Amino acid sequence: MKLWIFMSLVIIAIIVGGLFLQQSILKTTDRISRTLDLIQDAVRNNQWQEALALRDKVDHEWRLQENRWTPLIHNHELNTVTIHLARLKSFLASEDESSALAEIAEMRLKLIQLHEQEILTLENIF
Amino acid sequence: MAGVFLMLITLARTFFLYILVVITMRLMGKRQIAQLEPFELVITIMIAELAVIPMQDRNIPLINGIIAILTLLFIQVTFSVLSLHSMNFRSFLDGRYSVIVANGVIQEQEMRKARYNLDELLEQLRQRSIFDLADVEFAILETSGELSVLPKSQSRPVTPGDLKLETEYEGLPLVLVMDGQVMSSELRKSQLSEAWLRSELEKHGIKSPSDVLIASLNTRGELYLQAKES
Repeated sequence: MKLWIFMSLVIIAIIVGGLFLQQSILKTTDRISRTLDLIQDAVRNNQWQEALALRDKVDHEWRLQENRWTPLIHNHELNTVTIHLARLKSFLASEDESSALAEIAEMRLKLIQLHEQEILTLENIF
Repeated sequence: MAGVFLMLITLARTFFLYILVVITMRLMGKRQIAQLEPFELVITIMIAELAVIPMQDRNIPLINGIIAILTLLFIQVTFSVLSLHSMNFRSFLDGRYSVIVANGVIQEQEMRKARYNLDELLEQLRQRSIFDLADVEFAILETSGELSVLPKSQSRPVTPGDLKLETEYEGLPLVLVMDGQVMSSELRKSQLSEAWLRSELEKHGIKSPSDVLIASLNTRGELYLQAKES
């Protein structure tokens, strides 16, 4: 019975941890998506320096979260966002509007997927 | 250099998961594979499989395997607790035993229900040193797949009770020294001291317990001794 109580506590800790992770992903992806909107506006207005500065802000925040999430989320999912960020930097530096906008759209979609994958839904279970 | 680190990471992950699986198995209780109930066997196989996946693939976070293993352990412990308190749950989980031979007659319907054939019955009887079906009074197929057999009274080995013979009490012999190490708890159980043990060893020409491979004391007070090969 002692073991059962201990294991119940472990399972409760896992559930709480899972909910906390889900919230953390939701908040971060929301924040990054909002900044991506700003980068998109800056690109459309040809404000490349501002777009680069905003990208660096996203990059900084992403690196922080990536380190926290690496032990919890499949590495491939996290690497994809990191790659998108690197490509976005080069498109912004070369002032390539269409490629930069495409990269932003792809990255936004990836962030939505990242969040959706961590939600407890029937779709994800099955 | 990166290759070396990759190997070290795999080594560390394997080491960690091995320890986790060993602890999990220990917490699940002492059973041999052949004695596992169906649900225990399923959980055991799943735990082994779950440990291997993150061991091989570095991209899968270790926590995924750990959570799955801990969840299975929780399910197993929960089912064990429920089985302990509810007979209905126990029979749902483990199934019911089947009486394959009753009063010397093979129960065909029970055999069909258990999908158990005559070859299997004869094989399991032979494994119990029963070669003639006519010697079997009852045979019960347990939920673990083991066959329990009650031979006919005329075919059972004769016991002292059958011959109305008085026998002496026989308890478990106590192992006092094993691999040169004195088992202090066993000595205490038998209310003997290490000084007594040493004097007994000296009588047999052994200077120290560290020279003893095994020493045990039976309920008649006889000491069995075997010294280590020098």
